[in-house]
Amino acid sequence: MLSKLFSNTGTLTRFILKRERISSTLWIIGILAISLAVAMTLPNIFESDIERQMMAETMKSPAMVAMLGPSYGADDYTNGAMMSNMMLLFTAIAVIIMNIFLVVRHTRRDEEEGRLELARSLPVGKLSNLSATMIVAVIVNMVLALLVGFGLYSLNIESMDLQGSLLYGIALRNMWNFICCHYSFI
Amino acid sequence: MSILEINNVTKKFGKFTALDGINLEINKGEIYGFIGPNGAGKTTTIRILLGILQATKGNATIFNKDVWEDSVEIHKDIAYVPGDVNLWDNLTGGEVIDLLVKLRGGNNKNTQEELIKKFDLDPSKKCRTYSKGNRQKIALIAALSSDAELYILDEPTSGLDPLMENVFQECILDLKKQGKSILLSSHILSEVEKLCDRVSIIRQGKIIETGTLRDLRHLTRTTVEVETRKKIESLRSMKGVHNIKENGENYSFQVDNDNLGDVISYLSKFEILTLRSTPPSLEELFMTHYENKGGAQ
Repeated sequence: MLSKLFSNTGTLTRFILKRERISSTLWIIGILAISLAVAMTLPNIFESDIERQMMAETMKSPAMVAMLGPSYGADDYTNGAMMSNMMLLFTAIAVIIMNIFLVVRHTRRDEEEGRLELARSLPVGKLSNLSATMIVAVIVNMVLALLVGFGLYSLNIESMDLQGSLLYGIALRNMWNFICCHYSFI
Repeated sequence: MSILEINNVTKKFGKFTALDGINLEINKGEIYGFIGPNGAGKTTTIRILLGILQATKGNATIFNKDVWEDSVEIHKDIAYVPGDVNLWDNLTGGEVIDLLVKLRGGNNKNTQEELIKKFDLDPSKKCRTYSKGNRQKIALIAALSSDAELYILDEPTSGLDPLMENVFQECILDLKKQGKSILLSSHILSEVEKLCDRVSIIRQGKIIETGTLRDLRHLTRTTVEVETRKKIESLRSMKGVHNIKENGENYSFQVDNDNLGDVISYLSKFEILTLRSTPPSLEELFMTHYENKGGAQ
């Protein structure tokens, strides 16, 4: 009974990956490039500990907290702390938008345009397309997390170690979970 | 042997009743016409048959399996062509055909290529560049190249040029020869007339007429054109005569089929020179049904 709901998920997953080969690749490259570019320029903008510490004080102001959330690592405001404090939220928004587009493209829009009907008239289970979309999204997000994580680490910035970099990447990936929750309520 | 059965299916969308107790039965090896005006419920019926919508009441079976519960099993042996085909813009026609064939699990490369040639399609172009007719061809090729038992075609020739329509009709008659069954929903009445063994007319969610074309014709009027030596008197008072048009000694009018005999014997008194009677085309059938039923409501 269960298998009937999911039949042909594999074929559909490969199909969606094929359709995603350009748009998702561009999204990943874009997010990766911006993350790395900011990380690379941070040491140049703030050259000394004193300058960084001044920035930390700014980040504590209510206006900045309202925008970016409570600052952390402010006692020793390193480049890594600054990066995650300033950039995580904005990058997360980009990741969320990517995911919304990705999921909508393969679920609601396909249904709206009648493409899904064409697929559903074949031996395809009722949940196959949805699960195929989810699988693709997990893959795309995982690739993004690993690339951002290892990419930041590869910049060899003192305060961005492997653990921290990967954590940053995974934090972005976790945005996917929110989107999943969001969609499961629709 | 019936391979498709719809028993008393009702479908409601909120308060709106889209289908109201539909009954339909298709036998093996039969081409079944399904006609009705826009919004009558044709596509809704087909979506229920495909297991995409669930009927509010009643049940439908294909190959004796429930269309909602066993849709995946059923779909292995049916092929479907929608009336409005939308494809994935950034793939080529060939890729889409491959996908549709792969999802079914069959592989009929030869038939497929034959059909591509027959329908004169360039499968290497991206779908966004295809016209409506070409998109339609892709769905048709994918469906017709499959080895299905039942073909569900929802206005399959919308957007095709007359040449391709002919190719399509050939393919359908070919399938019939192979003993396949076809449900053909269509607006093009000449096509239905040419292809279908039996016809159902649906209107406002109800099937208002079912039967062979012959049966249906009995219910309506025959057009009679007659030329007589003497002037026909009091034709207007004859029972069952409608729409009289007089042109010198030429008359043309419509007669209810039940009164045809009486009218002809009455006419013979006036020395008939020529007489031509034409059975109603499906188009006229269709019109009378809509006008009559429409006026009553």
